[in-house]
Amino acid sequence: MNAFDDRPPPDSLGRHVLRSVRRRGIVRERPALRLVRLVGTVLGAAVLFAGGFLAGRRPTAAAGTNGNRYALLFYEDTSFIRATGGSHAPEYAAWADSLSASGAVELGGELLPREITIAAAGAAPEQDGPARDSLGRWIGGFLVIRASNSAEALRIARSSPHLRYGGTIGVRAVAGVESGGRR
Amino acid sequence: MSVPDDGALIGAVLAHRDDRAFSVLYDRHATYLWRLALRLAGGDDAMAEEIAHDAWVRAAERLARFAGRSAFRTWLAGFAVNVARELQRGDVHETCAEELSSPRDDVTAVDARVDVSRALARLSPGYRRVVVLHDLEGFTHEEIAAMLGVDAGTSKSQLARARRRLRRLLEGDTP
Repeated sequence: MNAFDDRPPPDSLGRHVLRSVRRRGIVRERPALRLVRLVGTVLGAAVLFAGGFLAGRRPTAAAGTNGNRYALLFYEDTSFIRATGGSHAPEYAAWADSLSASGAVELGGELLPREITIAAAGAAPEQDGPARDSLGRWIGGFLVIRASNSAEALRIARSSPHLRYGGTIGVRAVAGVESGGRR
Repeated sequence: MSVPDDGALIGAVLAHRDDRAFSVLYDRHATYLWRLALRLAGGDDAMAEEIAHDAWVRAAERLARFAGRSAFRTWLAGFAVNVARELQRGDVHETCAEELSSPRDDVTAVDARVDVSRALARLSPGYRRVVVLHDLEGFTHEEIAAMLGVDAGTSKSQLARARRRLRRLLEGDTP
């Protein structure tokens, strides 16, 4: 009935409030915690990863048991980092928790910035930060999820708080399972 | 997954100055407080931002005093009401000006349909406050009285006058 009832709070309001309470010493700013709890949430999957996922064995305790695998690649850029200032960690955690509880997550985590590039001739110089693509973005984290089809994978990706902070998400099907369900 | 309740989040803020806990608390109640602020501000975004921001900061500064006798959301709303009242204190004259004006005086579009939100926006801040709190937010007269520092009888009589005014605005502006 009321036209202004449905307007969401502006994003700037949350940042303004958080800045103000930090400035007053009510809360302390923590280091950026991108996807920090996501790592914990899928720690079991990481163990599976170490235990042979790469060797071709199917994870035995992956949450999702049906559907195809999709990789969600979380792209960031400098404006994304500025926009979030680390305050987005609880949102990510809540989102990852709910996704994990639904059984959709197989593997995932934050990618630390330092990247070592190797080539046949040997190790190339180590980079201080992640490799940036032609748009100046880098991958800050990833998830491997189970979804019945690409539409569902996109729906899951769109539900991520990552997009609200100006990040972008690449959704890619893992080869070999797009049409046939589990390998 | 267990979700920490408001009490646990407040405890984390007080004990550890945990900004993640505060962020979760903020996210949980941000939409509610924003909409309340918008209503109190009569749809004025800039004023609503000021109301919501100051309400959050004041609540954060006084978190240790939150005793849990009411829901956190109710407690938080009290700050918004008080901030709105302070900001609108300079608008006291608005009550008189509005009461004297014809309901049709400021109708700019002949075919404009004035809905409740527009009518609310045209109410004086004092009337709008009590309609928003009682009729839209569901607070009791006793709760409103505590927020506004008046007695429950005043809240009731104010609401009756505000409803009459609102009705006149709606009737006057409906084709």
